[in-house]
Amino acid sequence: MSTNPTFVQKYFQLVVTRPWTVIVLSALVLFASAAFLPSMVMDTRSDAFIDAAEPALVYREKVEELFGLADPIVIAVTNDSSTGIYNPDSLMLVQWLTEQVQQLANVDPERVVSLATEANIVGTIDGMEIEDFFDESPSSPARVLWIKQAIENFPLYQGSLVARDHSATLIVAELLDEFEADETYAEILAIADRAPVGANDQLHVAGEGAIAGYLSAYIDADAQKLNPLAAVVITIILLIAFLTIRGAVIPNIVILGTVGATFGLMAAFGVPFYVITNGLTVSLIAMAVADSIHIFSQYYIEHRREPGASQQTLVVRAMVAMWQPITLTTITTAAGFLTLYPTSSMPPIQYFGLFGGLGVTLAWFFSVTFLPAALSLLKPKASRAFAEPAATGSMDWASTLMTRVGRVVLDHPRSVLAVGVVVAAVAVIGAAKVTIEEVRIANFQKDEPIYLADAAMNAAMDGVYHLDVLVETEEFEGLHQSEHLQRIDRLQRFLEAQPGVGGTTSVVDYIKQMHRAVNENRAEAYSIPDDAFLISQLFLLYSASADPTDFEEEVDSEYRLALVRAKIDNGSYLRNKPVVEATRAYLRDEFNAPGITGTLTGRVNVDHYWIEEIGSSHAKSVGFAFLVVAMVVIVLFRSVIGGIITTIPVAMAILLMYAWMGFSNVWLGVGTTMFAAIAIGLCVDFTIHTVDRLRELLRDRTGDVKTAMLELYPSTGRALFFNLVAIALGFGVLITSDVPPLTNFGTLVALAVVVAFVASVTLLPALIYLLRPAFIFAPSNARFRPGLATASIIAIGIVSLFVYTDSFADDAPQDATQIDALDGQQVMQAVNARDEGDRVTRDLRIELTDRRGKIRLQETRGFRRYFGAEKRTVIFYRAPSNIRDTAFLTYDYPDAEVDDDQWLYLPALRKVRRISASDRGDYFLGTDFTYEEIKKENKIEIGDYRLTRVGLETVNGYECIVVEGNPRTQKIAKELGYSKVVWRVDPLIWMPRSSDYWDVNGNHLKTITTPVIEQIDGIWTALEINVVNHKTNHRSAFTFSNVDYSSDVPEKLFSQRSLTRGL
Amino acid sequence: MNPTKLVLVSMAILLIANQADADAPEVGFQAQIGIASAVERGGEVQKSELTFEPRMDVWFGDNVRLTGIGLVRVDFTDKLEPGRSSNDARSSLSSTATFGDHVEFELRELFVDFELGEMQARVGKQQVVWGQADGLRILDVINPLSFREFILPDFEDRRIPLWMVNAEVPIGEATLQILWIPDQTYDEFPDPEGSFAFTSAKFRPVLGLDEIVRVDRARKPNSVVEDSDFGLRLSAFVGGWDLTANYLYHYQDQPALGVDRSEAVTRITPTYERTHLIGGSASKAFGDFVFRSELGYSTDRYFSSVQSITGVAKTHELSGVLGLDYSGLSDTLISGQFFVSAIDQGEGIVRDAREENLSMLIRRNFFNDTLTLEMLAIHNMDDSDGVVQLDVSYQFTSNTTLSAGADVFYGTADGLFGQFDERDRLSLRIVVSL
Repeated sequence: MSTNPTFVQKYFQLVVTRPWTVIVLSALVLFASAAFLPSMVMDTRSDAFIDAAEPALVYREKVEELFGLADPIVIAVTNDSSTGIYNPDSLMLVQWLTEQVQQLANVDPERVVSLATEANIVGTIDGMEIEDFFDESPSSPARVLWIKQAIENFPLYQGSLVARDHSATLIVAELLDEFEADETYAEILAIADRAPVGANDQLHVAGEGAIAGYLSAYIDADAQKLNPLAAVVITIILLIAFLTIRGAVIPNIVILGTVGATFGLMAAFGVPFYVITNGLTVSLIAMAVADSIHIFSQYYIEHRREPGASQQTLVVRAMVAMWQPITLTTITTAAGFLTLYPTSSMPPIQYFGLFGGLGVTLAWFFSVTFLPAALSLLKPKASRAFAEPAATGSMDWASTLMTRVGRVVLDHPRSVLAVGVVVAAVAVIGAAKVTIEEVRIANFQKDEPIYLADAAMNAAMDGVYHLDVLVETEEFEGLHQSEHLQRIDRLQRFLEAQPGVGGTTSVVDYIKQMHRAVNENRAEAYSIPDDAFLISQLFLLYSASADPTDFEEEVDSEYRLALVRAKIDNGSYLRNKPVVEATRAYLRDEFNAPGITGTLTGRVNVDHYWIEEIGSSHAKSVGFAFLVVAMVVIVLFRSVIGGIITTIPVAMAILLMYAWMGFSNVWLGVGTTMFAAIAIGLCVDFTIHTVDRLRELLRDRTGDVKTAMLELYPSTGRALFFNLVAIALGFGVLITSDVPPLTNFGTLVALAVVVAFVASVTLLPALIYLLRPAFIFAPSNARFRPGLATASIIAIGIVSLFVYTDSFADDAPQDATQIDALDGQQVMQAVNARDEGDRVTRDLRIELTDRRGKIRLQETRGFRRYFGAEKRTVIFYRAPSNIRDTAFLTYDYPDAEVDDDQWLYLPALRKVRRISASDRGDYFLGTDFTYEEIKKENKIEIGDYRLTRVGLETVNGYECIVVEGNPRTQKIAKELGYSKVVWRVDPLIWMPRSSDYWDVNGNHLKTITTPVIEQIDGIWTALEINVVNHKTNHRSAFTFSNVDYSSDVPEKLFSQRSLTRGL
Repeated sequence: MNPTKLVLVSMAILLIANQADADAPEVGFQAQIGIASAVERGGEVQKSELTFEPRMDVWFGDNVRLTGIGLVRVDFTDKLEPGRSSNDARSSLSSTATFGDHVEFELRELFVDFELGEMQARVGKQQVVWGQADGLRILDVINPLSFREFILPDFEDRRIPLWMVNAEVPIGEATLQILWIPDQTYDEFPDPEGSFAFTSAKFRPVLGLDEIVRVDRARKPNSVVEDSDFGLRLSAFVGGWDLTANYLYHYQDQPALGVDRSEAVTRITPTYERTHLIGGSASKAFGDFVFRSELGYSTDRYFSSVQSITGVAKTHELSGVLGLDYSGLSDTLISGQFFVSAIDQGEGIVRDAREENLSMLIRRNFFNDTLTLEMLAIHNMDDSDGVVQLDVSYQFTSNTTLSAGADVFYGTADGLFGQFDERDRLSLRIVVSL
């Protein structure tokens, strides 16, 4: 970016002489990116807001997998008659609904829970009888009575399955695929619509699955309403501002291009459309128009100055005059957006920032390419809005208004400042009241059926939000021990005493029920037996007469792990915060004991963790955004004072917004957390335009300061005014959104820019008038000069620094005491137990670099599949052609005593060669990986090593357990080629993030690092593995792509004939 | 177009048309360019050639692939096969095209791979390799060889690909390979003027000193169907052993040299004869060692005979090879093989009843497989002759390989290897892959 005007002039000259070329080129940019639009995916899951690597989330997913849990859609049947749901109609309805829901494609029929699927445990003469509640149809009053009594004698189901006051019962359906929740929700609503509802029955559909499902439909509808509205609003503003068709049409095309290209690029990079991405569309519309407003204003001013000039001359003049301020405001606005990326921990917000910044840049791009090109094709035309004041005898209303404001400000600068100080003081009080809070159901309007359903269910039942504790015992069948069960029982009592907790469930409730059943249903026998033998007998008895998988949501098949579930009646972060913290303390101080540990998990715990982070990440992003824009301004005006004065209106705007939030009880949550950074980026535009104009006016002044400063108002002030109106109304459109967080976001940004505008034309000129700062009054013949380039470089530099350092910053403390207890052997066993998919297909690019930096590239395609415990891997080389068709096949047997079988196909021989598998320490086809490492893929043969845990180390910001391995025998050491290995294992994913190897003579041999690990199809996958050999300085970099765990991998691929045939 | 070619090509087209998905086929091109030169012991340049080997693959969906590999060779020296190559040993559909003495075009391979149910088939011009032995052949007799440079180049380049149908069908745990080879192309020997023309008396009929000899055109079988070769191989992986049982009904690729002395001029008529080959192979890895073995029995082998009126006598041949690879040293392969071939020496057959060969291969890779040193020695125990090949090759970039080699023959002029004692050579080669 050169400030040499001739360069800029030349550029715009070129644009207007070759308009079609420029239009076609910018259209190409648009189409190239918009072509990806059809591949855009929606991701409205609430989990999408949480970084996939967030420990609490990872742990919860593990627990969910362990106990086969999934987010459910819940149907509540309520009946407000005196008998409640205990009437044949209601119960038949439950049965009908259960059957209907079980037939849905996205519902696992085994995982639907309702009265129709559950069983009663009662004592008989023989001991214990398990009888389904609906074993006999609930059509007769007698059976209904039997069910009622059964439930009343089964505390576990009270409050969880049937309301304690009998007013409601639930049908809970777990979804197979959360991504299809929206369709399933719609299907369940349809079922509810045609359900044979009895006299007083009412149906409600809610639950986490329903919320996720409905939210996407809800947002779609919202977007369809908001986006056209924003476009209409903007068009009206443009028409009013310029009173010409071109002034309305061309900026709209710029908007279309910006929005299309931005979302196209989002799709191209595989970034999904999240709940809040809706806000991005409207933001882009509002921001894309800002550059156009300034350019058109200038164009009409130029036309007024010299009505006879050719269109091309006018366009070039307007562009030359405006390119600097619009470039600068683009940089500051983009910086504001971009700061969200490194400072937020929530992917949807990170991408909002990233693509918001990109969108602003694209808007700038279309404004300096398409806009002048298109404009130059038209004939020169005046705008009545810009008519010569002398000709009409007066200025237009907007200019008049602004001039009046200017008079007042410059006549009473001290009063203006005083008012500012008072307002700021009041704002500080309000800002102190801001609270961090998030309630997911609040994404819906309060009169939405789903909101009402959620409220109704939480009122009638124990609660539909879960705080879970995973209890782990050390031994097999540890949960048969009475003392452990007593401990769990005490934990349940503790949880039930917490506010908001309606009830708890665990395997203990079943044991008590069974214990009572075998004791002739005596109430006092509803207790935990003292005898481990009796407990295992109870389980045995149960499994003999019922489905043994009935407990799979409470306990694992080894009776080592148990899930204790507390049902909470609200999803509020603030209300649940003390519960989570108290439970954590209870687990640490009271519960955990040798042989048994409890770890907090569940939706409520996950929410607690990430929302807690909102506060800190918000402060980080606001501070950072401020820092970036202040730096830009300081460098731009080459004055620290200038930087401070210029950012005062911005600070005012943000402060007032917090005050607004504090006073009107808008909490700092997901939707609002990003307003400040974006507002800072937008607000600073006003002050920059103002200061820049003032410098120009005061530098060229002939009369006194006041007269010179007054000139600001009808010209720049007017443009700023329309810029404000466009942005404020554009964001204001969000206020009409049905998604409350977006409404809040829109309100806040709109108000912030209004405040920033007001402060820019009042506080700022008043301050400058009084202080006479040198950066404005000192004569200078350039406005921006090198500042622009430097500023942008610094801004970008700072942002990228944060992006970089952020990856080191967001590691949360490990909350898993059981991981701390693992020894080296167990850690590596966990590594070996890591899921790597039953089958996989992937491409591998191998880059081999020798000590002089010479690089060899190879491309392969590999397949792996398990046949029972036997692992077969085949790798085909595809390029370059001199090694093409080379192929390697291995059968890796689970028995360490049995040598693996390996074959190599060499195209030069056209022959499959059997190769010895004892060469596992040999290097694989010229890489720095050994055959063993290629075969094992980040796992090891446990029997080869004596493994010791030696501590913790942080690798790339991830806390890793360090395990040292020493080969058990000299022979193994020789085979492997190592005397010692050190792995640094990330316990969140059970994969070594780096490892070091020493040769048999004890010299440091090589280091393997795994810098890129991603979750693909739910499986942690190393996408990049690098190894450097310290002895030879040779490096190998493996980059995996097209990793596919779901497609079929035919068995015949792992045969010699397939080696011969190649791919 | 030759009818067989027509049949094969139309089969290929039909198959593609039937199996191809509606999607546009994916096409891949690769090529190798080689520059090679060899200098004989006397300082005479033996070859200086430029080769261009393009390869094209077309994937029609997942199951059908068409592969074509061509070869253009420009030999500026033209000493290996002076003049145009005769193509005598080749069937018309496997012939090469020559342009002047120096330029030769060859369609090396052109085949379609496809799957029908569990069956995988490859139809077209191709190479099929049987057996476990390196360097000397017992079961690897499906494709004939070119002896243009004797046995010095890679087998890959020496084999003459044949038009054939090659189908593999899994039968339980085993795989049955079925070959039908209608292409009548045989070993190609250089003309007497060629550098590696056979001169040893062992490879020509026993003739009197004053005999006037006329060599007739070879009598080649010519019926596409009747004279096809036919092969079966059953292979299985059992208890860590790779086992195969092989059967091939084929024309021996070296002609029997019939002698007719009924007229004033002795006529020599090379004739190709049919034989059944029954054999098998077995290999298994034991720790650092890999054991390889191969056994073959041919029912009808024809050798020059001093007693027979026709100049040739029929016998059977039993041959076998035992090989042991050792890879206990890192980056190093040491491989030894022992070959033996036994015939029934009745009727004055000039070949020894037993022939034994030893071979030893030592290969070591350095610098992450960029530099490879290799020594291959083959020693014939009966004639005490042999060849030692030294080769060093260096992968300069991913695409460029430089190699230098020395080929040294020793032993009696009557031996298979010793006859080329004067042909010891140093060679240089650069191969660039595109």
